[in-house]
Amino acid sequence: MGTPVTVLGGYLGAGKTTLLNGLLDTADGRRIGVVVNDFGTVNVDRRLVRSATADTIELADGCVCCSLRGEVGEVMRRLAARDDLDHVVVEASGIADPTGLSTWGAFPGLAPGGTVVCADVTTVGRKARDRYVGDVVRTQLSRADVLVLTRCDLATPEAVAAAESVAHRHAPGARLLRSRGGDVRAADLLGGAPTVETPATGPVPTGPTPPGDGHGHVTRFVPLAGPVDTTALAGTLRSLPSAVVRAKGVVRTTAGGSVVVQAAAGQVEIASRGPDDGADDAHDPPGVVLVAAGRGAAEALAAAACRLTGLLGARGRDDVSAA
Amino acid sequence: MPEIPAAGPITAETVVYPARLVRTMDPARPTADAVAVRGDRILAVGTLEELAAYRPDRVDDRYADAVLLPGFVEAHSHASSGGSWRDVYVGRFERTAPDGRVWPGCDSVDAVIERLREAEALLEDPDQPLRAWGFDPLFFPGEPFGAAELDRVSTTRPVHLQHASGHICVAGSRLLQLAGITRDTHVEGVVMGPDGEPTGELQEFAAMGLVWAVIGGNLMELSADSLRAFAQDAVNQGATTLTDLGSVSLARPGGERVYLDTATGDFPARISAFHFGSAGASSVRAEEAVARIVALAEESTDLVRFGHVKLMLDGSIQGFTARLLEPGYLGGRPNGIWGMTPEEFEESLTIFHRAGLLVHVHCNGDQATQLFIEVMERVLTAFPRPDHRHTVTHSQMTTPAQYRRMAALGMGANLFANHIWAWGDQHMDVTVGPDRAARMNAARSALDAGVPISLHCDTPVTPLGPLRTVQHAVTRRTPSGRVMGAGERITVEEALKAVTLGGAYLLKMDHEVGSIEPGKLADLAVLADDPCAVAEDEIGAIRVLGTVVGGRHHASRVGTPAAAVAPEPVSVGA
Repeated sequence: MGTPVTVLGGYLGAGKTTLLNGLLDTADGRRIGVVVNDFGTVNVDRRLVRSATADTIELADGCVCCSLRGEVGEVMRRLAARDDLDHVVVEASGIADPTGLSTWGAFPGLAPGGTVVCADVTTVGRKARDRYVGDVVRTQLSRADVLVLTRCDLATPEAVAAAESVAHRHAPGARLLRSRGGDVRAADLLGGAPTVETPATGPVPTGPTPPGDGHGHVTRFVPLAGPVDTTALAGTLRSLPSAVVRAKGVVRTTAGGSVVVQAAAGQVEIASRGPDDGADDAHDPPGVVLVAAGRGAAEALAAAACRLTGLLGARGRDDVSAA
Repeated sequence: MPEIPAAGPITAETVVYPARLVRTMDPARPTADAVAVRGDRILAVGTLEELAAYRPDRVDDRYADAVLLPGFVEAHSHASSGGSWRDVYVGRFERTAPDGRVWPGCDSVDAVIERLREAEALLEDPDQPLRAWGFDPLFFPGEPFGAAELDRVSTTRPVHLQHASGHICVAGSRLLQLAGITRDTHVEGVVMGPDGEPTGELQEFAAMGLVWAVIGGNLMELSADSLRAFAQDAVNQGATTLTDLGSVSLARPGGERVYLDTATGDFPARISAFHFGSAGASSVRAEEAVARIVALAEESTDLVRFGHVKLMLDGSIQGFTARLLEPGYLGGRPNGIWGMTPEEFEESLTIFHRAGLLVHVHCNGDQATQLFIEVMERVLTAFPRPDHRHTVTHSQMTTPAQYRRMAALGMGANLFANHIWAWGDQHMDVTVGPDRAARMNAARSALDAGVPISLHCDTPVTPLGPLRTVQHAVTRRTPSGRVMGAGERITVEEALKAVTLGGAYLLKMDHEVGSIEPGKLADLAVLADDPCAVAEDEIGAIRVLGTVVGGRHHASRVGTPAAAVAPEPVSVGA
């Protein structure tokens, strides 16, 4: 029996890389071979690297990342020849029909592992109607065995529902998963028994997540309508309660611009906002989405929200004292 | 742009070459009797009496009976084509290898088999694979071609035949056996017959990859030998400036060496090597590549030019992978395949444009052209830049309305005129239908809209040969004898300008090559006849005697028409 090959498809920016990083985070003993278009996208920095060459990075936990910059056949044959992998996940380019890569599932040493397609809930409806790439996006969706609705944490419930109906229309047979910041576990996506026991999580249920349900994630959007000092923001995010596993959002700054903030595993990234036509503002009001997991998640969320809101007050006090 | 080296030293010998006729492409002096060359530059053009004023060191009569034109500029070609001649050509139409050997077209499946048998008989090592290329089943509808056919060539030697598309190959039974492909091989793309056995046809790369180890891997690596064969092909066809339109290695350290180390001294062609900048598996991202390509431009020599970029938006029309506007392909086939997302394209074009680089974008279908135009308008509005010369290359389905917008945006068009011959009948009957086929490669519309054009071959896709390219643009005749859109024909003079000055303009070399003018590089095509004096359908048959590149003489290796047609090796009696 060969190593199952799962093809990961979806339009440019649909969240494939985030999902891949999430897979590596939750491998839980699975040895996953990840084939990506570009190393730059996989967050190798925060992983334990055993060895690395120009196109292959062996991780300490048995997972391996390969870059597709060379000949795809060469990479796939190399992976097919290995007997130490439980699963291969190969990322299709954002414009590709994932079917092209799924043929590798029949290569000697490999086995078909299905097709996972990402769809960004904040853009998929528009992309599926786009006059240049609408047909491509609709084809990609139709190829999905598993359709992952991404950025559910950054969209209104209405937008998520609208994206779901797009998904049902174009991928009626697909299993639907929702992702918030790439929080889909390897066990859910790739199936099979993990070698280490993990909490059982099925597909994320539709509708609002009940807070404090013991094992799932809880999320909360903290609106930050006024400008915030980025240094103070970074400090706050770095010291959030440990149950808060992720934070992401767009915030206006006291310096006059707006920034995208992300925090995970104690690491904080603040980047000035890239070129944006503002079309997503309706889905993207200023503020931060917090994701907490595990025992005490709900309480941690409340505390974190309180501290973030406090940043606005701090700024106000500064203004007063400056005057 | 690299600084042009100063004209040859004043001490260089001045030589006058009298000719039967000199066609200059310089409107100030369209024709002349002789050319004076000093060092690597043209010193003067005129009558022998006029040139005497330049005190020539000598008069060289070698071209006294020939017609001299500016060396042709092939603005869309691939250097790897030089390497394909190691293998056996079995395409539908005649092709001449760089060594001068004429490979007649194979007009039937039997002719393909016969060609392969001849080549097989010459191989001494019984285990050496027999490799062939250029087979196009579009010309043999309904006729199977698989292992059974290749077994008529040999059942003991591995035989491999690559389709012209590059996406399908056929393996003979011995090759299937050596690669371990059997009825139990469940790889998608390994085509099985009704009896459950593999037919020999291997579709797409997972299946084709099964036999690579046996036949010796990827065959299209660019080597010094390939480059030399490519340049000799140019000599044989009168071309003096070539392009390698899309090098995947140029953005990597050392990727420029094969060009710089090979094209020196008396290397017989100039090559403009474009960086292949499309986001994709084998390419470096635009933001990483741009600084290197800008720096490489400074490494340019008089024979090798760097600093330009190719991007690729769609596929091919005959492969049904080009992106078409409504009403799309005949018979409602699904639309083609984008080479990159519109977002990636806009980002890449912006990066290369802002860095001051010239970008040629592969657009076969009219939807691809439309996207390029719309992105171009946004990029130019945000970052105005005079004289960018960004070019739609192939531009096969570009509409008159699109040409008008291109003119307004300062864009050029490099048309795939050879398609009119190579797949013209298929375009009229199979891909898009006679109405839209009539406006394919619309040179007349482009010129009328004021868009600067060139015409190209895209070798190895179609053979290098600017005179034949001119003939196709002028006659628009297909192999079946039909004229594919008489309204888009252009004159011989317009077509000749397109493959000389026109190509040079789109490569930003028109101040150096493309016309026979004082001060320009002494690059000449040496022809046996005047393309403006023969019948239009005889232009492609004009014998090319050779070229002059920077004042150095290069002889064609293609023999006289009578001698060249006899194929070597002589066919085995069967």
